[in-house]
Amino acid sequence: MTSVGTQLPEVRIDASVRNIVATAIASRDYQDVHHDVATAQVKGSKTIFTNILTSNGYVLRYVTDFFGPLSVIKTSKLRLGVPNYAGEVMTMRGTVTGVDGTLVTLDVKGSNSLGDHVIATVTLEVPQ
Amino acid sequence: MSRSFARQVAIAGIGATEFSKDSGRSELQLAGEAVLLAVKDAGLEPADVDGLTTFTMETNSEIEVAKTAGLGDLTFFSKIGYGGGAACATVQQAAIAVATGVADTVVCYRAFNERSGHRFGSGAHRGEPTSEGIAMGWVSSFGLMTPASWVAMFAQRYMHEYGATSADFGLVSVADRKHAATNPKAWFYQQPITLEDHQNSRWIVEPLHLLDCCQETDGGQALVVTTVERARDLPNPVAVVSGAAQGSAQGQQSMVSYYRDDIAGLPEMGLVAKQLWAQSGLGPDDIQTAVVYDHFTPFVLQQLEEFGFCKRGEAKDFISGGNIELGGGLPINTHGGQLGEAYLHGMNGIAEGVRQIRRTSVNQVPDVENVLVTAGTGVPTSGCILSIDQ
Amino acid sequence: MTNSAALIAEARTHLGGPPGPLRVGRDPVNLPMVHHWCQALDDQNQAYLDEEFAAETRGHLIAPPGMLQTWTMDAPRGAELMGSNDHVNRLLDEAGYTSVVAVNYEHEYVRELQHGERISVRSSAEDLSEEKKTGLGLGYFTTVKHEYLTDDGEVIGIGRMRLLKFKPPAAAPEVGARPTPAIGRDNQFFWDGVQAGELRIGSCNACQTLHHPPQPICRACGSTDMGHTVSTGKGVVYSHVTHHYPKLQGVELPHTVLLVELEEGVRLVSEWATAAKPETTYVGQQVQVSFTPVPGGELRPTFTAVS
Ligand SMILES: [Zn+2]
Repeated sequence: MTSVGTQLPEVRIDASVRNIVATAIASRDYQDVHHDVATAQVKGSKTIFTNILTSNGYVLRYVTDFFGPLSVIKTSKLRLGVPNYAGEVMTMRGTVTGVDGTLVTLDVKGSNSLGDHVIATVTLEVPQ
Repeated sequence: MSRSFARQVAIAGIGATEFSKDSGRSELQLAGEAVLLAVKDAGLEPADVDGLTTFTMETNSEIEVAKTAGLGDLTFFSKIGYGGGAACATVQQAAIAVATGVADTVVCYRAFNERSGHRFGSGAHRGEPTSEGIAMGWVSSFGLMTPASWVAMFAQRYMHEYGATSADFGLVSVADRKHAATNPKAWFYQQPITLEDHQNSRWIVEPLHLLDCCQETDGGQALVVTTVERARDLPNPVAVVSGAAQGSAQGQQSMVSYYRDDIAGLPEMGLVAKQLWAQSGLGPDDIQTAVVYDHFTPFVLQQLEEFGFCKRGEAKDFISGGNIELGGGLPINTHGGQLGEAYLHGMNGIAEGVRQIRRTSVNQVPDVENVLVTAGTGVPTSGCILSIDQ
Repeated sequence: MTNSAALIAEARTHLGGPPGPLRVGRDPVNLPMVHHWCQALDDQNQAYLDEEFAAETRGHLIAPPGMLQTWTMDAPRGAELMGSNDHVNRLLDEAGYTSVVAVNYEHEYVRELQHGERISVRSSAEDLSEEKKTGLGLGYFTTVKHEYLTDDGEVIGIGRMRLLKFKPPAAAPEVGARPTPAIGRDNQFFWDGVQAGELRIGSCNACQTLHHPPQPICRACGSTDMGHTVSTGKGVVYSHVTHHYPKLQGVELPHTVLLVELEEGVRLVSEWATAAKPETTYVGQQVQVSFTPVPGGELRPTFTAVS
């Protein structure tokens, strides 16, 4: 069923204040730009924004939600783009770019109103 | 002598692309293909084409089409306004050009993706950029955005090849301002400069100083053209048009023809020169004064070379010692030029040429018989020679 | 050599050097932190949460792979949360490149983690670029490698983070975004190439004539079968200018623009990858292409001088 060109269904993820703060703390990232609006603005950002560990976590969640709990993530490579500020909605899209036995490679993109927040390449083992 | 072009010209070739709802290629490619098909149909080679006419609404400029289709040097190019009303006028202007010997082979063209690209009925603009837009994008997206910077790129290479210096360019500015200083109509009336002033003026775009760049002006200038016979019955001394020519040379771009083998010359002005000398039967020695287009000083040197007043690379010597000032061998821009009088896209220079022929210039050159006037440089250009009525 | 150049040179001597001290994760892999993560990210993966399912399929619950770095994140009192005892960063800070933004974040998950495993990390500097002009200001790209180990010394994951260390925006004038190039059918391949790190030159598939700027019909043979070739990116400065006035959108002044003649024989207008001073530019100078963001963040083919 998985072949090169297979497209994953779009998934939308709310970058609510609650989600940004909860995920930053759950990843033990206490940097103030992820929970303190005033400090984030002093440092030149529009408001608080999603931390990188979480962006990676969302990419992997998007992939394992599609391939199921038996799949095993092998690598993830993220290129980071525009910030994912509070108030944005990030739309995840994915396309399978390679299938080699049980090893599947795909491109995943998370975009918000400012552009691409994350452009990722993920490889995983998907048992038959 | 007949003044009609009727029955003197013919349409020898026709060519068109397929007509579709989505051509799948650029408007430039459509224009190029249509032109090449018409040339082939006529049994000619692309290099035989020396004239182009089209619509002002056409997005593919004559120079982009010429470059893409591998046409020859152009001695006639023309755009006509008013949408579809221009269609038969392209033939009319081509006919005028061919009948008068201005060009031998003129192609009329029009090409667009009006259905798949910008639909006239849709109002707002979207979609493909024009070929002219793309051409400018190759420089503007790297921060080369002003006329001074476009000219400076040529100037740097000219300096490298011929050893000219910024001070050489300054001599043009000094001469123009000297002439403007005695012209009450000039913006810089009574404000001459020294070469030191030029060298001390701030950088605009290295290697160009502020005083290498012309001013900007509000104003208007117009000229009346009629037959010599009729002009003789009118009040002023007659300024005969001994020659008038256009030039667009191979590889031509607008201000940024950086991709030719040689960028230290101005081949389009060389093309104008060749035609003017041929039309008028005159040569450099027959010119007593010249109005040499001077929006930026460096191109004045190349123009003197292209017209054969001196050899390639030797203009820096030709202009030294006051040779281009009043009293010198070839006084130029006796009104002060665009650096000194006003920047009116060269039209005020033609008027000064007329005044020199009428012997009414405030900086009159003695015994003037023929005046050379040139037009904008770095772009497809033109020139004319005005003469006294023998 | 300026003080800044000396600091950068010193930073380079640390590349490939020994990693910093092993930093031991505060807590072993554990279910409460996994619960917290899964709730925050709304991740319902049974392999992380369903003990019965996990026992049947893997023998045990695993930790979400995305938590790899979480296990070694410091408590808030740690002076630097990323924790790397990184000479390169210190020297870049001292040289004035004090701001930082992550550009790439990569992980290799060697195997899945189960609860009770204690994870440690050690970090080393792998790479330091030349100075680059970026949309954020002048800066250097550095790559830090993180090796994640168990108490037995087994490497269970490798992370790489590419960072841009740059001079804070306050130091750079606000110039806005550089005008974008006009992109149409006939030159799309060129700008796609820039994104792919290739300098592409239009070429005729029929007669191999090269064209730059590209055009849809070959001026040598009239063919419309146009393709492209990839330039070596080597060339010489054919001419150059340095813009001082007026101010331009998306350009920091003074700005040197190059006309480069590539060894393939075509020319293109470009600029320096770094903020080279005009007096270091000369006709005939040997240059090599690189791809650099300009103000606004778009990539351009740019050049650096080579000896
Ligand atoms: Zn060809």
